[in-house]
This record gives sequence, structure tokens and C-alpha cells, in this order.
Amino acid sequence: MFQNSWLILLFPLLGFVITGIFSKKLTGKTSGIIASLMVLASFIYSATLFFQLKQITNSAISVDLFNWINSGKLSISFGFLIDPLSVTMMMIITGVGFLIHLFSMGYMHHDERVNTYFSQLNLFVFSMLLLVMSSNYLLMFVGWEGVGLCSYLLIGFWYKKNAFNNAARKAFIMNRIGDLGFIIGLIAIFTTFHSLDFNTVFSQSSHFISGEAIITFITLMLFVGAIGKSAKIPLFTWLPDAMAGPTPVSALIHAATMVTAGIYLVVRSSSLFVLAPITMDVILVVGVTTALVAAIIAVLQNDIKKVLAYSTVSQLGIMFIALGLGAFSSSLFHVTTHAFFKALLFLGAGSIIHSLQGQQDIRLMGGIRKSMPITFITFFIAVLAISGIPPFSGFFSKDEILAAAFHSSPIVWGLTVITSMLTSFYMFRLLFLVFYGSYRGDSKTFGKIHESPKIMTIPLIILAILAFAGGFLNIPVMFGGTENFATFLKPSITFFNDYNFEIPNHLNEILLALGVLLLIIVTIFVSWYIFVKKSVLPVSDSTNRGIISKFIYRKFYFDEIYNFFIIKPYQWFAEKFTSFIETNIIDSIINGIGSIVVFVGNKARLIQNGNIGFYMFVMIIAMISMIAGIIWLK
Amino acid sequence: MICAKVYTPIDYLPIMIQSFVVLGFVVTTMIATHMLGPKRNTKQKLENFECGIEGMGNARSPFSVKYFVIAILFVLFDVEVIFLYPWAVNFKELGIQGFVGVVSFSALLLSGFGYLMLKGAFDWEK
Amino acid sequence: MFSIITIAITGVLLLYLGFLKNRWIYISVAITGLITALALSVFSWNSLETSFSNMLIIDNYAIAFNSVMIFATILIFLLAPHYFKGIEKNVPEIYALLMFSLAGACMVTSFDNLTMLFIGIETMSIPLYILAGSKKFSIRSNEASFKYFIFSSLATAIFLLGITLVYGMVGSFHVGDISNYFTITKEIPSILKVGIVLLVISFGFKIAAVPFHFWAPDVYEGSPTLITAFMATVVKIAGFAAFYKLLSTCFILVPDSWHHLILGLSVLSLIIGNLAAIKQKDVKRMLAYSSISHTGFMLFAILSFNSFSASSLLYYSFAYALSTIAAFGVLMVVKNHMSADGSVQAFEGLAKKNPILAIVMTISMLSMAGIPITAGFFAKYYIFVSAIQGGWLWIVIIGILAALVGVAYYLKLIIAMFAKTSETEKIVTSPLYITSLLVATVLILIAGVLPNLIISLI
Repeated sequence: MFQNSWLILLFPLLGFVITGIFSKKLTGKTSGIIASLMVLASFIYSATLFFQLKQITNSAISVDLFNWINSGKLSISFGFLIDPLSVTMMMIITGVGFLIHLFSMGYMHHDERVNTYFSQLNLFVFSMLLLVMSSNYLLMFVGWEGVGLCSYLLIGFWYKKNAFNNAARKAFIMNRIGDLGFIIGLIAIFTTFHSLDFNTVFSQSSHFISGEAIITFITLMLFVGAIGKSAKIPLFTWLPDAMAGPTPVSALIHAATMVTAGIYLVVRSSSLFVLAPITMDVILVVGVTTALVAAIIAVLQNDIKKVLAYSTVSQLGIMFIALGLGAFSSSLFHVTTHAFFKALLFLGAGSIIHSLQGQQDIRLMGGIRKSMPITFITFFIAVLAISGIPPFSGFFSKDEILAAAFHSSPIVWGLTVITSMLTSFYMFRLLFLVFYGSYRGDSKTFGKIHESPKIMTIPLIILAILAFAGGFLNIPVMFGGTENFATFLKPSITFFNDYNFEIPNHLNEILLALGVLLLIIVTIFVSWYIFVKKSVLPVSDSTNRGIISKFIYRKFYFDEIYNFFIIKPYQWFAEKFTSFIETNIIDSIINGIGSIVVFVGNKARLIQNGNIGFYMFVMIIAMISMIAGIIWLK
Repeated sequence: MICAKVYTPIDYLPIMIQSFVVLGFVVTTMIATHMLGPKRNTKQKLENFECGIEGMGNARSPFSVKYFVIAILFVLFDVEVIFLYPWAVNFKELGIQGFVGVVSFSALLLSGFGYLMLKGAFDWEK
Repeated sequence: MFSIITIAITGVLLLYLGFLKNRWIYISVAITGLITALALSVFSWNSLETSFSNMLIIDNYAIAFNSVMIFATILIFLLAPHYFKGIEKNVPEIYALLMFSLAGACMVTSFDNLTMLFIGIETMSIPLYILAGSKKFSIRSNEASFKYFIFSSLATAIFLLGITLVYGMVGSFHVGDISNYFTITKEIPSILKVGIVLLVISFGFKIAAVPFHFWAPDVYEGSPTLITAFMATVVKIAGFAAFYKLLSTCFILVPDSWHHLILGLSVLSLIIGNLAAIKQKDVKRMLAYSSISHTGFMLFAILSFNSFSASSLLYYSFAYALSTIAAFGVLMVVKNHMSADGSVQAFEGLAKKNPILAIVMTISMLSMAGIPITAGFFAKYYIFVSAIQGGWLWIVIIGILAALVGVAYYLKLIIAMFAKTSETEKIVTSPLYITSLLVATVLILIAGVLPNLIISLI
């Protein structure tokens, strides 16, 4: 069973190949079915692996398929590491991925390049699976790059619009910056441990003492990679722009899978990260800032997908807070629940956009809960989940992180609570503006608003059930649970020596949770008061805003700052280089060499004149000189 | 056995002298006859393949090689038969293995012969 | 051993099957025979076998190279029915001669005695003289045959003289005895050195290393393309395998007497081969020069004897054989279609008309140029690594520069196929033909992604 786990990778790859090769022949429906079935097959296999893994006590199985690269000291096997961590990720990827495939069959059916779409979607799932299944850093890097490539392809899927292409390029370049960090990290790991294999590296890491410089360097570099992929400050600006892709893609890339790659990387390398307290502090600071900044920006956004995008950035920030605190399993638990409710939110948004003929501005929506009941109910469940209302899943995962934060530093706790309050505020703002009140868009389209077809609502319903019940996977001890999720993951993760898995005083924790809950409910009420009772509408773009409001609305001017300090100088240099160095120096050198080679080649060609006598003559001369050389010259 | 003796180039001196003498003789003779013999060059005599009949046509035109083919085939099979002599002399010592070897050798040879027959290499008329 | 016998018997059988006058019968018999031979060869893996009073030794080294050569021949045979379409006369004889030549090639790789090496080389070469001239009424083909015969005879004579000198000093033809001789004797007589140099020179002829390459471009260009493909792959690989084995088993202890020669041959082949290729108009001639430059690369393996060089040579041979067959395969149909015009212009617009052919050609060109994810990349990579480990850094630098020049003329063809257009019609090929090309192409890619499948064999 474990030996054949490469099948999990094979299915989506097959799907990619089939739908890719026959993209001219297949109908959109067939390729959708093929692609979905492939991911479903992978999911079933992963689930089987999961149940098998639960039976085994020593639950980390390496599957080495073959020796992939053998060069000097470098020896890398093409192998997988099947352990609780990877199996969990595999199930999230394939499970949520399958639902998104299903949804896409409805959402994309009218698109002319639907086959290409499914082919790329399958390739994406394949790369992501490769990323989480690999048993060494290099193979993981292959998956990592594959994910980057697919995100580029899918974000720029509607390539006829220039802005979308720019968004795709932005995502790719930002990711490349992170990748550079990852590569440096890889090289550093190899020079330190002489191996890139997870098992070897992690077992050797115990020889290092905490805070050693090289480990700090390695972890910082890996974290730079994670920053790029998981969209943290300062490399987060690509994620909101990446909403240019089709909405199910946003759900897949920016909620369930791609952005969690960074978290997976940190959790996978936990035994290195626990040795680097400085890095952990950096992670914590980056996490807190990102969570807060993104939440603030989200409050004033008017594009339904942009709100969700910033909410993703903010939630990822919260996950990184958990990582920085050393609460790796809590972070992963939040990844899981977040995958459910964020995918649900994106798909719900997709359903709305689909039914409103591509309209994304929430100022032009409103009051559509009657016409789209299923979308509304599922969306509502997701909003409750992300806001952390018990017993929805988000409550449990967020609560764990808050408890861990309170344990280590009240400031972090305070900032996280503020983020949570902001989250519930802007999520309910979104909900109220979209579904309540009266319709503000073009009255002609209002009559056409309809509930989406079954192929789109069924994934919504399944995800809603998961978003509701996902929290029960890991019921904390204080509510009489056994923390199944954390216990299952424990073998894959290394914790700080003094990290306290159990919090002794449950009463305090319950009180804390209740306090936070109260604050959140107040926020929701405020949101309700503003947007439903007073029906305040977000102002249009042309209105003058106050300085702070403008500052937030323009996303803290991150793009402008990058533009001014990095892009402009870079372009200036690039232009100078093209106009002077390139044309005058490099070109003339290159062309000069080229023409010399061609000239000599033309002469060399003439030696071959077809005359046997001449050939013989040259050969005999060569022979004699060789013999003479060997005998007389030493 | 002769014990191994290391030869130096100087030991080959006699051979070298011999080859010089031989070469020298040939070259000298050729030059001498060339110089001594009387020469009366006429147009006809300087022609390629001068044989009394007017030269005509292209030298590259295909011509029948029947005779050569048969002659060469004869030499080929004739030479192969030489292998039978040592076998015949050592018939007892080589035993059944030698017998099998020679039979398969002859069979191969025969199959070649058969191929030539079928191919019509011996049809003089065609 | 049995695989060589199978090949030879299939050859004889083909001669007789020729009388049935059904081209599908003899092609299927030929391919069945080859596949049987390949299977026999592969299944004897790890079973060391010596035969004919230690004249032949079939070890893993020999099996690996034999398998590559037999496989290459299978691919060539798959191309044959389409190539000989419309030609009825003498086709089974051509097949049979190819078989005999292959049998000789298999003997060459597994010699354990210098006389056996000689017999093998002759068995391999003699059918080729005929094959090179098998287009009877083409003057170029006749010229090729004639030139090949002249130069091969010269090489044979030199080779025999070399063997004689070695025998005169050592007193044995046997490989083991020769290497023993060098462990005992410290002072090597110069006459023996001359013998070794002559052997090296004669192999220089066989593998077409500069300055003994002169026959190659003319012969490659003039011979029928299918035969050229055979000569450029099987014959060359056999030559290399034997060359490597000869030097590594017999003369490994006296590198002084041949190391500098190999160095010179390698550098000259790289420089002349690549430079002369750059301005060629005829693709076949260009491929001939590219083959000479590949000789230069493959000589690196011989330069740098270490545990790694045999496997790097094997990998290079495999990659080179696949790309060469694919390239010649495409060239064959294009040339045929364009009424015998094999220039670069004939390839213009191929990507539009025949995308599959264009892709096959592109991948094989990329592989020859050594671009990653094709087998050619790892071939060059491993051969460079082997040379660097042997301490030949500066020659690797020359190699890399030569490879850069090489990219120029390989890309010229790709540009012609993709960037230009032409008005000519689509080329019609047979499914068997395409299968052979696709198998070669796919294997180029597989070997390029998973080099360890081959590199770890020997």
C-alpha cells in the first residue's frame, strides 16, 4: 500500500497529460470529468493511506522509488515520506482540490479553453502533491517550482487581458524572490548536513545546539522561501492581484493549497526551526504584522475577491503566529479548517460572480439572499467559521492559537485578538453588503440572478459541512476532547523542549475563550449596526477620503513604495544597460566572436576537398609525426 | 623454450639493409630501363588502353562480370576446403566435437553455395 | 555468445527469405531475430562467459554495449521498410549484410584476444563496403564505397602492423598476457610503443577522429542515409567500446605511450568537427561533422580512465545513438520528399506540415547540443565529470566551448523548421516509421530525466 503511493502522483499527472494532449479533441465536460476523477482517485488513495497510517505506531514511512541524481557527493533518491504530516496535507489538497474541480465544471463550462484549464489544474494538484510527499528538499523544490509555474499559468489564464498577465507575472516574480531564499537554504543545508534527505537532516540536527549561527541562517533562508509562497510582508502584494485568475483557481491556489506550502515547509523542518529562536521571533513578528496589516486593509476593500484575498493573507499571518510560537500542530490545524472555510468562501464568491455575470464590486450587490439560498447559507456558515463562533471549525483552531499566544506573550495575544475582531468585522461587512439590503446593481441583471447549478452547489454544501464540523477533529481537552488531530501529527513534528503541549489550568483558558468570543460578538453587532441598521455604503472611488482611510484603502501604499524604490531604479539601470553596455560592448564582443568562428569554420570546411590523395597525405604526415613524437619526445 | 631476449632497434639493422637493397634494386632497374629503352611516341601509342581497336564510349558503362564472379567464387570455396585438411589429420584427437564443428562449418558453406545457386550466380547465359 | 549466433543466423536466413519476395516477411523475421538477440543478451547479464578458447569474453561491459547496438539496429530496421519502399531488388541482401555487420560489431566489443578483435573489425567492416555502395547507380554512393574501402584497408593494415609489433614484443595475442607483460617489464622497448601508437591510429580511423577523419564526411554523405545511420551509430559505438577496452585492459599501465595522442585526437576532433560543421549546407554532411565532434567528446572517457568513465561512455553512446537515429530518420523522409535535397532549406516549415517530425528532430538536435532534460545533457555532463575527476579541467573547458559552437548549427536547423515557412506538401510516412522515431525520442527524454537507469549499470 505504502510502496505504491506514487500512484497518488500518477493520477493527476495522467489527467494533465490526457487533457493536455487531447485539448483540441475533448469536450469541456469530458475533460472536466477526467480531471475530477483523477483527483478523486488520489483522494481515495490518500484516505486509505491515512487509515493505514493510524494503525501503525512508528508512523513515518519512507518510500524510495529509485536513485534520482547521483553526482559526486550528492545523492538524491526519488522518494516519498509518508507520515501524518504529509498524509494530512495530501488529504487536504486532494479533498478540497476535488471539490474545486467539481465546482469548476460548472463555473468554467462556457470558457473556450476549458480543457487547458483542467489540464493546468491537474498539473497544479500534481505539483502540490509532489511538494508535500517528497522525502528530500530537492524533490520538494521541484514541486515548489511546479506550484509556482502553475500559479503563473492559472492566474494569467485569461491571458488576453494585459492586467491579468501583469498579475501573473507579479506572482511569479515575487515567488522567485522567495525561491532564491529557498535555494540558498538548500545549499546551506547540503553544506552543513551533506544530505538533503529529510530523515538524515533531521536526525543530524540534534547534534547542533540551539541558536547556532548556521542553523539560524538556514531557517531564515527557508523562511524567506515561505514568505514568498505564503504571501507574507514584504512579499504579500502578489496574492490580492492574483485574484485575476478564475475564481475556483483562487480557491485552490490562494486558500487551500499553494499558500500553505510555506507553512508546510516550516512545519516539516520543525526540528531545525526549534534550534533557531531568532528565526522563530522573526516569524512571529512577520506573522503578527502581516495578520494585522492585511486585516486593516481588508476592512476597506470593495472587491469581493480582494476582501477574501486580504482575509487569506491575514489568516496566514495568524498561522505564522502559531508557527513563531512553536505551536506547529495548531498552525496546521488552522491550515486545515482554513482550507475548508476559505475554499467555501471563494467558491461561494465564485457562485455569486457567476450568477451576477462577472460583477465583483460589492457596492453593486446586495439583497441577493432570496435568489441564492444555498450560496447564502453556505457562505454564512463560512463567515461564522472564519469569525470563530463556536461550534464552527474556526473557533477551535483560532482558540488554540490564542491560547498558545496568551501563554507566551500578552502583546501577541492582544494583537491577535484585534486581528480576529477585524476579521469578523470585515467578513460580516462583506456578508451584509452582499446578501442583505436591497440590490444596488443594474436593475436589468437583477431578474437574471439565479441559484447556481447543482454541480456548483454540491461542493458548496460539502464544504459547508466540513467548515462546520472540521473543528471537531481536534476538540481541546478543556471541552472534554482528546485532541485527536494534534496527537496524530505529533510524530512528525519536533517541539521546543519546554513547549507545553497541555495547558494545566483549563478554567483560565475557558474564560479567555469566552472573553474573546464576547469581543467578537460585539464586533459583529457593530458591523450589523453599521451595514444593516444604518445601511451605510462604502464610498465610491471618486470621493475624497481622509488621510488614514486613504492610506488603508490604497493598501498602505505597498505597491507604490515597491514601484518607487525597486522597480523605477531597476528600470533605469536596465535601460542604461540596454542602450550602452548591451549594444556597444556585449553585442560587439558576441558578434565578433560569432563571426570569427563562422569565418574559421568556413576555412576549415575547405580542408575537405574530396581528393583521396590529399587525405592520405595528411593522414600519413599525422601518423609519422605521432610515431616520432611518442618515440623521441618524452 | 627460448628465453625472452630484449631486442633493440639495432638488431633490425640487417633487415633494414636488406630492404634498402631490394628497394634500391627495383628503383634502379625501373629508372635504368626507362632511360635505356628507345621511345617512339605516336598519337595512337599514347592512347589509353591502346590495343589496336579504336576506343569508344564511356569507360563507366556496366559490363558483364560473370567470369570474374565465378572465378572468385571458385577461389572462395577452394580456400575454405583447406580447413578440412587439418581436421582430417587430427580426426581422432578432435573426436565428436570436431566432427560437429566441421559439419556445421560445411553446412554454412553449403548454404552459401545454395544461396548462390538460387540467386542464379552460375547461370552463364542469363 | 548466443545473441551473436542468433544475429548471424538471422542474417543467413534473410538471404534465403529474399526469394519469397515479400518485404513484410523479411522485415518481421529480421526484427524478431534482433529482439531475440537483445533478449538473449540482456538475460545473460551478470553471467560472465568466455568462449572459443578465451577468444571472446562476454562480461557486463560487453553486454551493455551490445544491447545498445542491437537496440539501435532495431530502430534502424523499423525505419527500413519505408526507406526501401518501391525498391524491390536486393533489399533482403542489404538487411543480411547489416546483420553480419552487427554480428561483427558484437564480437568487437567482447574480444579477449587481439586476433578476435581483428576478425570482429573485419566482419563489421566488409559488409559496410558493399552497403555504402548499395545505391548502385548513384555516383556519390560509389564514391563513398570506394573511399570507405580505401581508408578502411589502410586502417586495417596499420592495425595489423600494430598487432604484429605488440605480438613480437609480448609473445601473445591474449589481453591478459599483454597486461601481465607490462606489470613485469619496466623498460618498454620503443618498437612496442610504435605498435601501441599504430593501434591507436587505426582506431582513430575507425572512430573518425581528426586528423584521421577525412573519409567520414564524404562517406557519410554519399552512402544511403539508412546505412549512414548505421555507420554513425553501431559501427562507431563498437569502435569506441573496443578502443576503450583495449586501452583500459592492455595498455593501462603505459599511458605515456598513448595518452598524448588521445588528447590530440580529442582536441582536434572537437575543434575541426564543430568549426567545419557550422557552414555546411547539407544536413547530412553537417551531421557527419557533428559526429566527428561527438568523437571528440567520447574520447574524454578514454582520457580519464576511472571507475566512472566506462559508464559515462556507455551513457554517451546510448544518448548519441538515439539522437543520431532520430535525426537521420527525419532527414531520410525529408530528403526523399524534397527530391533528394537534403539542405537546411529543405527543412523550412516542417513544424507546420509535419509537427511530429519537427518535434522529433528538435528533441534530437537539442540532445546533440546537450540541452537539459534530453539525454544529451547528462551524456555531456557525465563525460565532463569523468574528465574533471581525471584531472583534465582545461580540456573540459575546450569541450564546453566546442559544445557552444555546436549549439549554433543545431539551432540553425530548429529555426529553419519552426520560424520559416514553405509551400511544399505534407510528408507521408508509415506508422512503423513514426513508431521508431517516437521510441527514440521518448527514450531520449526518459534517459534525460532518469540518467541513473543507465549510468549505474556498469
